[in-house]
Amino acid sequence: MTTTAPPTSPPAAAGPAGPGLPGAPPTVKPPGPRPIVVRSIGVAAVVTIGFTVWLGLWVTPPDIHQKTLVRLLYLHPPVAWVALYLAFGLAALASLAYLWRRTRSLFWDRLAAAAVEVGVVFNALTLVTGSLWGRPTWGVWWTWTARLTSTALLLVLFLGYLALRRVPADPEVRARRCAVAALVAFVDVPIVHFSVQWWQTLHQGASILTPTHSFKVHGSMLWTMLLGFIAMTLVFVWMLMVRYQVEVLKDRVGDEELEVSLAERRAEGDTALTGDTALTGTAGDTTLTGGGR
Amino acid sequence: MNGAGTGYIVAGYTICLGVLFLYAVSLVLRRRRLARSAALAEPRPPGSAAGSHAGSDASPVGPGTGPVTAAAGTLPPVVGGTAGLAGLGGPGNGTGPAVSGDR
Repeated sequence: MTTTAPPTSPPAAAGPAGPGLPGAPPTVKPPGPRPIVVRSIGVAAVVTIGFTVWLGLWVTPPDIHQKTLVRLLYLHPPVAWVALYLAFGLAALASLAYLWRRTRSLFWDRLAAAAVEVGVVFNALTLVTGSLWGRPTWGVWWTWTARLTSTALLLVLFLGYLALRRVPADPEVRARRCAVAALVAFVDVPIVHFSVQWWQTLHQGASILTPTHSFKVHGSMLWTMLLGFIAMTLVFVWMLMVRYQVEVLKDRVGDEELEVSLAERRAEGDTALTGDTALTGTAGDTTLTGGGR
Repeated sequence: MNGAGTGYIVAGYTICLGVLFLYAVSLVLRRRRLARSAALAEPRPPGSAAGSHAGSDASPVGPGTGPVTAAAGTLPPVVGGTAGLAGLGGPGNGTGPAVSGDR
């Protein structure tokens, strides 16, 4: 009876980065959602954005009041929707889930961190695209009305959240601090939403989510705007998944670097002790071992 | 597409889509870099300490920053290095006073 040794598989870390690349640096498989899912959503996002741009710039007619400037509104409300409601809403929900003891897990902390960073990008784009629309429409790049000011404040608050994440601390402590900070910052979101109803402001009122649930946009303009919402949502989901993978990898690299460093120090200590004994035994030089002190 | 506000529209689309594209690329690059760092920093099996040192470019403890230099040195470096070794073997923190010829 012959026995065969089980095949030894190389460690995952030693594998090539891709097929046919033996000299490429080793990589690990990114954690989180499956690559096919991430890739599919990415492709869908690119396609829908392409259609939105095509419809928005070349197919839809100019508005009777705003003329061609209405084309900027196929981008501005969808970007604001992602920042305010999707990204910061998800960050607040994930922070709540982390703070609640039954669901406490670093998964929620990482999800909130990913959502906030992507949300900050979209929030900044909301301000930029709004300013580009406001300059020819209102005659000013910026005005301190309630909607604009509260949106700018939201950006500052969540930039503070990102800064807080960079403060060195134990992961649990950092997660708790950031969860509280995200909830505090999220208080500004309903203020942004209702600011056009609560105060007299230059910014126009709701066009899509009206109190009477009736659309104020019609025809091809409405469909283009809705496609813009779908496109930006897909972009957000793709970015959120990739950013979550980055967050997990960051934590993993930090932990493993610490373990490797400790192992190296221990190995150095063992080597040193062995060499020390040998030197003492053979050379008898007491000045080498500290015995001459 | 013609009109008075064309410049603003082109600027808005360019900035918005350009920033999103650049951020997406930066995310992919960050993920790739961290995946490589994670592969290099993965703990090696016991007994291959020398192998683990190969990945020390991702480690905060770089080569030559600790008393490890003493192990392969000739006599003068050994004297200096032994101080660190004695520190490691004694108080256990490797930061003890130097025991060298200058004392």
